[in-house]
Amino acid sequence: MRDDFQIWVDAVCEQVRFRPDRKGIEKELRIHYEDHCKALERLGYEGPLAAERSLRAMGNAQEVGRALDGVHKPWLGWLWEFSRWMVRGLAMLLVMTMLWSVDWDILIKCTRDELAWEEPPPGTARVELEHGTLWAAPGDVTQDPDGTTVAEIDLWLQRRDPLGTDSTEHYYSSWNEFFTYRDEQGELTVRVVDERTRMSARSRYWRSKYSEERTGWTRCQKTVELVLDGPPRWAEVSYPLSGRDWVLRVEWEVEP
Amino acid sequence: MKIDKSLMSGSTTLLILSLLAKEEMYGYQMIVELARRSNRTFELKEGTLYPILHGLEAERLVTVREKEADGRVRKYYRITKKGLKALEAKKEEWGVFTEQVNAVIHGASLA
Repeated sequence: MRDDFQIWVDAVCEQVRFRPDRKGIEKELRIHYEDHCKALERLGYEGPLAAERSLRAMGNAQEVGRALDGVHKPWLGWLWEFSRWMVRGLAMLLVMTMLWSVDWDILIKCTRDELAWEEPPPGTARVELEHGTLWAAPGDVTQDPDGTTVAEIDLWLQRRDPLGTDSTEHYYSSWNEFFTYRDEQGELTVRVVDERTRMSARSRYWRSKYSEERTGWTRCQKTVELVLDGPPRWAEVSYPLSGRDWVLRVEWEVEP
Repeated sequence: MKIDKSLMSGSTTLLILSLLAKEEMYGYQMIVELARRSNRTFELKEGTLYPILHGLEAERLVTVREKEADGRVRKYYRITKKGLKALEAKKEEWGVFTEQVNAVIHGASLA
């Protein structure tokens, strides 16, 4: 059974044509009514008398309802509701577009490679670049079946800004593409990994060892292979297009 | 002394904005404070306070926030900068109005 206040507040809300606002109005009026009841009870009024006095103080339900209806105009309310849903819809569309445009494979690979970073060995030659640090160290030396020598150079790059575009590293995925390599016989040419080219080339070129490439957000590791005529003694890495004069020298131990 | 309701109807906005000028308040608190400050001369029918408050909110003269106190979540009304400006304008308007009413009822003349 509805109590007297519920009857009163229902009569108020009936006057408000914009239905979505009725619940909030009822709640606010109820709290006011209960505040008044409690205040009277603190003054010593019995519960039913406090309730009756408080309800009487609220005024005429129709008058209050009509006045509230004048403020809570339906067209304004629906316009507000519509604009809220529009904003939500646009925000959702924006998020979906962003999620759609993300290349998740690159995201996962970069994160995994970032976590798999291995520090360069102590004493590794290094150079401070504008946006990071580059290390180079001599790696394994092996003999190819065609009689050429393959000497590995391990490279590490640590960027200070994630995905930064240092002029030395045009893109994070091909940061050493324009490096040059030279040994005592002079500069080596670059060759892409191609079985046909590899078979026809004799020696003295360099290539990226793709299986050893790790490209994280700020840290990259790569191994470069120098294909030579004989055992390596030393090699120098540099980047002539940078406008800066830096050379990293790696030396292999010569077997006695 | 009971005041004719029609005398009060034109000044309720001024009274409510004046109450909120110093601190934020909830509905019942405003009713109590209004009665106290006017020696119980101004006693609104309590339900009629809310259309006025909601109207002030629609005009951005006050803002509302919900706050929990004594285990109850109440709506607190706070005057805005725009509300403070409106209050100053209404005070000035009220000053002119009362001055002219007094001039008429006390028989003063500009001539």
